[in-house]
Amino acid sequence: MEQELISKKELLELTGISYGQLYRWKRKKLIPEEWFIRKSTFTGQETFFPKEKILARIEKIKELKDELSLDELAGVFAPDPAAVVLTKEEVIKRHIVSDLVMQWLDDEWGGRQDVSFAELLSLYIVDRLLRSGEISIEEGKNIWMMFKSHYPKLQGKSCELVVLRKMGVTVSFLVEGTAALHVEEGAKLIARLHVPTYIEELKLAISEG
Amino acid sequence: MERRDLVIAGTGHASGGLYNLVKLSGNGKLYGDIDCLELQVQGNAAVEGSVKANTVHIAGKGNVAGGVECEWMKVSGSIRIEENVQCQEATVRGRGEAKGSWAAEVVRVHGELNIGGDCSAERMEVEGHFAVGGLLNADYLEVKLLGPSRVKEIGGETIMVKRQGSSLFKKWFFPAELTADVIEGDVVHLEHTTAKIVRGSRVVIGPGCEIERVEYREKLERDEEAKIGTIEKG
Repeated sequence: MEQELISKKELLELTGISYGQLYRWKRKKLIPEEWFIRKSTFTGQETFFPKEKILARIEKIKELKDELSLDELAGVFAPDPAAVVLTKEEVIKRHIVSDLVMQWLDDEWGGRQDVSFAELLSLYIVDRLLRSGEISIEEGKNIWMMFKSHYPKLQGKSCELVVLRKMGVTVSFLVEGTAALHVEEGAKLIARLHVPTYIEELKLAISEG
Repeated sequence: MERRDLVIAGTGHASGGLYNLVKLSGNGKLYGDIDCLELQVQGNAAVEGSVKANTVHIAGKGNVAGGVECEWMKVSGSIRIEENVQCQEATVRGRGEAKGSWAAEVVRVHGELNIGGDCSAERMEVEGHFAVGGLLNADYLEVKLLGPSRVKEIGGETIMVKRQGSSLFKKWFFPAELTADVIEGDVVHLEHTTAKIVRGSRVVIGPGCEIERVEYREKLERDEEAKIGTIEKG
């Protein structure tokens, strides 16, 4: 899956932002370094960006920049989430995940009351998958288990969650970075989620609550 | 742990650690990382580790084998840092060198600055000459060129490069010129600059410039003597 790229010039024209803003956001780490892709063109070196991601990010920055300072925004977009710990009640109160998924947590831990960001993230992503109707509850639970055991190794890095199904058997895994996937015939790609996107959503959900 | 003062007068060495004031007058050497509120050097100092401090004041010569993290840094003389620098405000009179990257809110240089990696600042003023191995990302950049300078890429909002008058000898042997691959900003004013690409909104290409390609959005002013390859209005 080749991602579509957009040149810096096209990006500025399309979004109406200036060089000053783009470099400022880069300085404040609102736009990750790895999105700046250098390529040789006939005019020399040019910088390109993954189109979908950068457009979504710039929309979001524009939307939020009046409410939050740039440093606060950087916190929202940082791939390494702040050491957030919520209590179970808070999670329920803010409707971050559905009651069904919350129930798993209860089964797993019984009495524990606090939920860390990483734990909440795993629940949040599975919850979103379940709500999309793409997976069954049983599959959701497996994905959750996989995510919980492997995600800590990738923390702070950008990664994707991939779910495949063939002949009714579901397999899920995490891919570091963004790699091209070439899947055998007959297998269905159920979901491919860019985890940092969900980290942002979840952080916003927490801070808004 | 309690922070205590460390004072070396004359020649001496000490181990790193947690300090309040570290004052090295004469010739001092510190083994290991130091974490202090204030580092003062008069003379010659070497730190065989990294420096973390509120204020760093060097009059003379400083060598840091690790990185430097501080709020405020003032150097009169020279400093050489083997790794990254992170500070709020840095003023260098003399010579500053960092092998890694340099991130600050404000950087003021009178003399020479050499950075191996990227340099980022909200405001950067250079009077003298400088080199940046990677991207120089500054909201406001003002350069008064006094010697040969080289930056791979410059990006920011306002970029001003001008030449100060210099002696005939210097003009011949150390021409006050800036060389860069790419320069991108909203307001760009260049003099005596050689670049492959200049992109901006309002661009002034002044005397002594040699630019292969200029792309501008609103306005382009050019000196008669400036050499420009292709011009594109976009």
